[in-house]
Amino acid sequence: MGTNSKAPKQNYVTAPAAPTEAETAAEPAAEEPSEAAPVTAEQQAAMDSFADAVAFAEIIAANGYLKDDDSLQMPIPEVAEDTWENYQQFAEQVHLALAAVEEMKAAGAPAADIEAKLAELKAQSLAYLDKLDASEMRMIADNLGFEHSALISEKPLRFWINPVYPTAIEQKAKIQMCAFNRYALLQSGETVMGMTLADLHAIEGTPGPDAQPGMWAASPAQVEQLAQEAADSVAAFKSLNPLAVQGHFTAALAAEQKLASAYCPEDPAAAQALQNKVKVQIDQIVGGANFKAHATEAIAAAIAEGKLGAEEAKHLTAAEAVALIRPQTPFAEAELIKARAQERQQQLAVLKTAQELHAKGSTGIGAPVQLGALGGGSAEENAAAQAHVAAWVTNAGELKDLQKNALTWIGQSQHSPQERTAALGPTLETYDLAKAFKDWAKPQPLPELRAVAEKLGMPNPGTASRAHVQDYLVAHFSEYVDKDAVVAKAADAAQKKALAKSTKSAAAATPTSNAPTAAGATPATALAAAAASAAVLVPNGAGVSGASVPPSAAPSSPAAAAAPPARKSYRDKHASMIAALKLAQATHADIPKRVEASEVQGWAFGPGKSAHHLGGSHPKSLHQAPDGSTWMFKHYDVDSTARAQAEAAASHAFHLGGVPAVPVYVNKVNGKTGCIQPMLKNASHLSSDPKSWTQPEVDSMVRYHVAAWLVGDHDGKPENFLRTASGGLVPIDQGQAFKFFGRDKLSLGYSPSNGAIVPVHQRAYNAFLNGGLAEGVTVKPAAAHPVIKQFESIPDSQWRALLHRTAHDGAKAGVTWSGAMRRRAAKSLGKAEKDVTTSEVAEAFLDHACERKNGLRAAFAGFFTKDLKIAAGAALKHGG
Amino acid sequence: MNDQNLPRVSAPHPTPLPAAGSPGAADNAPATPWRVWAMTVWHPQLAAAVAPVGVLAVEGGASDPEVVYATWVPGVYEEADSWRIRLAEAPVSAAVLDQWAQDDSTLGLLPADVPPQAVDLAHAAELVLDEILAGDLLATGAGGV
Repeated sequence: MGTNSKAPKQNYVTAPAAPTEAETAAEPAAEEPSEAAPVTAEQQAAMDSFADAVAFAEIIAANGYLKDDDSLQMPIPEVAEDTWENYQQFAEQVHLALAAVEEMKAAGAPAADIEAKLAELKAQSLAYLDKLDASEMRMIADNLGFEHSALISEKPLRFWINPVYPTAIEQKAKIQMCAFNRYALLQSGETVMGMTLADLHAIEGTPGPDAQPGMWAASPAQVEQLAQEAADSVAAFKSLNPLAVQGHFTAALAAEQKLASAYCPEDPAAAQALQNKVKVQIDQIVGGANFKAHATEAIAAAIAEGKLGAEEAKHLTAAEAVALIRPQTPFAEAELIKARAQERQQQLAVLKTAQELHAKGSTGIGAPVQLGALGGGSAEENAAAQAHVAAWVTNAGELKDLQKNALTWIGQSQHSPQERTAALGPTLETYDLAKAFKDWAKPQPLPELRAVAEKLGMPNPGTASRAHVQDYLVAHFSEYVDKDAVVAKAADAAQKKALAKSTKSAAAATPTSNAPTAAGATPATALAAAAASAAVLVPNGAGVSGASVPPSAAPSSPAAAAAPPARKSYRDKHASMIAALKLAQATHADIPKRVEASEVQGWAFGPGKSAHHLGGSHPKSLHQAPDGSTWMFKHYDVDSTARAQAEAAASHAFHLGGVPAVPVYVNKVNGKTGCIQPMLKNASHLSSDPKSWTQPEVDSMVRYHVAAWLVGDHDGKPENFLRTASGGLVPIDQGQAFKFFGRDKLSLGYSPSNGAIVPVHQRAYNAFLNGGLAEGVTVKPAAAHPVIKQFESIPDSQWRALLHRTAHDGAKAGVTWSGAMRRRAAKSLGKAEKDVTTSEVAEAFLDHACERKNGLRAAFAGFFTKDLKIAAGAALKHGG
Repeated sequence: MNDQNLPRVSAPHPTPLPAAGSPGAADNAPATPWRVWAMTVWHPQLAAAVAPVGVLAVEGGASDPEVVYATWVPGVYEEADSWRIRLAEAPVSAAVLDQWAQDDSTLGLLPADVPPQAVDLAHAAELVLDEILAGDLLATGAGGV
């Protein structure tokens, strides 16, 4: 297909339509082509091809007429008038344009130019599709192989037929899967999208199903019997004790498989209705709380029968593997899952290679870095040594990311714990590795280190100090060091050094002269330049290199930040929010390091951006810290200072006890006092299904329980936890800390919310008592010991100091706990409650806090032995 | 965990859920207002609960809902389990909805506008699901989904 009559490209000036708001939000803004580098012949050829394709697409879209010159109205006879053929012609030009963009990439065209071309093409394609009505879109989708397009509304369908996006992408597969799901519901008798199955068949003009190859002829009685067998198995699964239902899920799947391959010539419609009814019944089991334990058996059976590859299954989650076993899983979904399994296999293979390369320089956590000596050889030998170090440093960064990626899925896969550990290898502790690397680098010749830095892209390494060069190299693998900030600091230091040198030499040569310095500027202007350079060290709102972006380009200006989001559709609103979040390129630390609160108070966070779309009851905003990381500020509508003090104190207490927690600080932003905390990146939420929890996670919950009890936080539901990239658990919200202090209880059934909130440790204990934890996972009282010991080591004086503001601000504000503490103070002081001062209430709070801290060991020993009936819990009393 | 609740927890399919009010079918125009939310989970890269895994729709305005309906983003498996279990654990009441919507946690309930062309509650939820599917940016979520 094609027009076969390509006119010179200069005759067709393209005028892409403006993208929609949603498209604009979803796509990066097109930028002007870069002027930095000259355009090569290869790049020009690719750009010409792109221009040709875009021009012809424009003509096709205009049905053969040039839109930009009405006087011509030149018909292009080859352009099809038929909608389907016209679409095919248009799509072909889009694909040619995409191929041209790939050629541009291969020819080394600047990323900004490529981005601009893609944005132009997307806008053009969207404008073309916008002109199609619903029936035309459905016809095109049907012709492209989409099944049941009537069950999908126009927006996703338009995305699905958009030729700019490849057919095989996950997003398109999901849209098709959605149509299949809705079709299955229709077949089971439900009404979907306002229509019945009969309505859909009328729209599609399709009768009931025909026999397919591989199906067996079943009588209505056989079909009914199979459906009943499946229903019985499902019912048994749902009604029995979780521990006693092995076999029922596998049986239900087997019945579903047999039923799905049955064709009932006597009553095909009834048979298909039963098939889909069974499918829906089993769908409802998949994803439930007890599903994973039973899926294992079904997966093993499918592997034994050759229905599922063992290696493939190993890289899938239980739900994914079961979806592959099931006969009615749509083809697109099955292909998607298979592709995931392959991709994960490849991830692990790449990870293994990276581990092997890493081992050549470091044998593990705490081991010295051994990369040999730099310099001292021939030019070739020196260059090879530099390249080796550069490759090792780069690989270390990649290894860290590869481990993090694998951690997002491997815990849910069918790998055994041993296989998982072997596949992941030792966790890369970048903080320790950076130290070891610097120990290695210290005696290396500076020019050699600079050469390595230059190979890795450091600008002007010749003027950088040893510290800056080392930091630059470390930044390639450590999330604690920002590469752009190092470059900026190095440039600043070099400039200051040059300025000092030139000032000194100028003063020595002409002590009374105002003549320009050797650097070409007077000291005053050079100082101004240095000041300007320092100013751009403060990261801008985009979180990109502060050194390369002029201050005026920083998008975090008050006007921009204060612009309220327009009221639009769900998609538009959240696209806007997500675009803002994406801009925030914070450092990727598992858990950001805790710094002194006084230091944070000195930071300027700027006006920030409203983050009310993040949900929650308290107003939030996102801010850039001076180190470029993104922080979230939250303030409470009532008693904000007191509550912020409590939340920050709880976070600090967790830190002192060695329990992971996001550092929270009290701060004043835009005149309001509240909590500010860094965003925790690369973490995922914790499933609330205890069966999915690993032993290290349950141990973390036990440790968390100690800290939560210490600060009286009973809000530790699973939704308040994140799984970090390294596999740890981090609580993210201590906003309820101390709320019920003084009247709360350390007991299994205690719930100040009357059972509405079940903290994660309570769930773990309940699951432990009811056999609801995964096989081999248990509650170990010993896990609590190190945390108790840490808390015991905090002197009362330090503990009182840490809680001083929480106590006094809370007492003044009369927060929830103040009533209990007032009663306590009244009793101990022998006064009437009304006569107790706020200061005495605060002191009662502090006394109680110390009592609780000092009684942790006895309290938890009692809890584990009495509430959980774990005799080993008594040993906690004797731990030293 | 109550096994009797498991039928309410579905994998890819829309689920009529128990409501705190009296159950009933959603017929044509709503007798009481409909409300629709995107159910979201934590997005590892964006560090916020903004990855949609499904849509929750209720009929009943600010009072206890009379009808509750959930539908799920296809191809999202374990990532949505927390929401499935959350929905299975207790009847959806006005108080529970309020608590979820105000929660600062790893699960989010983000309000969506009710599509004006919806003929019933389920239709409204499915149309919002389509909105999610149409947004290439938003359908990428946790765990590589």
